[in-house]
Amino acid sequence: MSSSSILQPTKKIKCLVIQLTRLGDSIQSLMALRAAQQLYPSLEITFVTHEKFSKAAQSTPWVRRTYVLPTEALLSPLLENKKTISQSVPDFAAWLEPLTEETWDFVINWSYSAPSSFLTALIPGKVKLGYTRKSDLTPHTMDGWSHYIQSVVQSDLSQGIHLTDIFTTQLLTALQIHAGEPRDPGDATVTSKSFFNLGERHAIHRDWNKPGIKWIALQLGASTPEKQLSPKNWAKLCSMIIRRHDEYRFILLGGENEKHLTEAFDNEILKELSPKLIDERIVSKVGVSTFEMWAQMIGESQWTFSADTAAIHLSSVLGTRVFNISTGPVRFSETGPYGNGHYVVRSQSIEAIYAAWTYAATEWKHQRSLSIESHFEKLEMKSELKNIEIYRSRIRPGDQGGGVHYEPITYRPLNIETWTSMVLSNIAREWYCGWTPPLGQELERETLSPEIVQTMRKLNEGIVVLEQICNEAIRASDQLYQKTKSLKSDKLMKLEDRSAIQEYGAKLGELESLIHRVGQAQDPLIVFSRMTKVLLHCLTGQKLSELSEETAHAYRFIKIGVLSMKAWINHTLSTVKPVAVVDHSAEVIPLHPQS
Amino acid sequence: MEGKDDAVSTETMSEKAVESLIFGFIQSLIDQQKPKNEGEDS
Repeated sequence: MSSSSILQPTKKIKCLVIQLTRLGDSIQSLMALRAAQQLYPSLEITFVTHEKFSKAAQSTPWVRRTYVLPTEALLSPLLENKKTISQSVPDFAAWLEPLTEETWDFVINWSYSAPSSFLTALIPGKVKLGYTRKSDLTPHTMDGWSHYIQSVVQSDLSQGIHLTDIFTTQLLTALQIHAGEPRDPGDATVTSKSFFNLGERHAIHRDWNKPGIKWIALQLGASTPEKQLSPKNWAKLCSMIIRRHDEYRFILLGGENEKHLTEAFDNEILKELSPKLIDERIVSKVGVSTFEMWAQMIGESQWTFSADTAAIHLSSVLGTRVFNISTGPVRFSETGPYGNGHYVVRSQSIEAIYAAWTYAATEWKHQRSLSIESHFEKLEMKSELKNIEIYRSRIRPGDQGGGVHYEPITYRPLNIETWTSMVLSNIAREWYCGWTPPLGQELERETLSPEIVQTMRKLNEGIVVLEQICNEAIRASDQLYQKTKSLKSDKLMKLEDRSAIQEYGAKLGELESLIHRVGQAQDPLIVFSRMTKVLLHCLTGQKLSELSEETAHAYRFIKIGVLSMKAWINHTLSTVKPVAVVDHSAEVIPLHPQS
Repeated sequence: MEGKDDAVSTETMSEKAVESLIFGFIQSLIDQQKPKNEGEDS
């Protein structure tokens, strides 16, 4: 049976999405689903989520059903030792029953967590994406992009593909394979208008929507304290803006459990501004707003100021510009604001952050023809430039790789982490999209330091070794396949066949540990060690011949990535080579003296 | 084929296997609750 005949393209495509992580991930998942549904209008989505984070999905009219896991109600008796796990099994089974009674065309687990993997295994589906469990309960990863998430995104390696883009590409690829080509998208784009149904508008403040007044929605908290900007720093930034920009007002946002942050903010802002000015210019809605109200306030503000929170994703959906102050252990290239014209800054200096925002807020005037250096100089803050990294988001055209990209506005020499992130994103596209943007398109000669060139030279030695290991592993697994495919049984065989198989097996084991050792020696190469481990763990064959054939495929796959990185290393090294420049202004000295 | 559920077929799962998976689901949810995260809307 051909893969495309699994689903009838004219029928409803029943799709169950499991999102048991936080609200920000839910909104990113919804963005990917919306894009897919516009290309596949017959996609009928059921969204499974924790009760606490269910409001976003429940407010989307195009999601057929939001199926809520009443986590607290189900877990409380267990956490309070009133019930054992065995006694709770019937409660969970009852919750699960409606989901298992249907047969889903797609079960998409976008939680990438242990609980969700068990849930995915329990629900019948023709096609599954993400983590699940094998019949012996060991973890299993169902598809290519999920292998990438497991070995790269969930590791300490940085990579540059946004999570929303990964989800979208992963789902669209699966739909294309199993449900056929999408309809012509025409001019359809994901717009804020039809994304949420937020019901009646709320009265926010006497100055809300007043002409000439601009509101900044400020999300005080973050998922963990180390990702937060301190109330003291928020207060300092607010006061700088309030004192210098008459038209701006602030609306403070946050959950019930973030009220302590408002109190700390109030204490700090009193040191900066008079009570009268605070009363006129700052409003707090921390802990008092519903999801609908929160979305309205963000949607109708001029800007959202936030660290790494769900507010930046909500703003992205609603079309509000984001000024993301990326603090602590955050990878904004994966979870930053999505769309064009958002700003991401990383800095400890509030003066520098303020200066960056004024550049962003006056873009309409300078049209980005003003350099960031000139802007900081005009503010007499040029010395602050060294204290900040500024990025501006841009949706790249398809021929440049597509997806959201954060363009650096401030100059920074390229470090090995950024280089690796850039290269991994390209390798991923080559692995899963079968296409890559032009080699080194984001690599600029001026950013290449002598240190990075030295690292490239060392890396070149490592990558050559990896290529050789891959060749050896492909050869060994091919030979193992040839040896095992004619066997009648995997258990009963001639002694000489058994010893030959054992020999190939031992060789493959050695080669795998060699890949691991090379990865341990050089950080950018560890991706190949991790990916090998994931791929070999996910082999599904029952017979030796099937397993050896899959192993050969796995090493061929790794080799594609190795060759891609090798090309990048060579390209980087060739970029820094001195080039001959023809100087037409120089005087020409004739070879033969004129008579 | 990528994405095809060869790992577990629910229809052919025994009652015992289903129970084990639900058990695993509950246990891992409990494990997740231990390092309690902060930030309602964040």
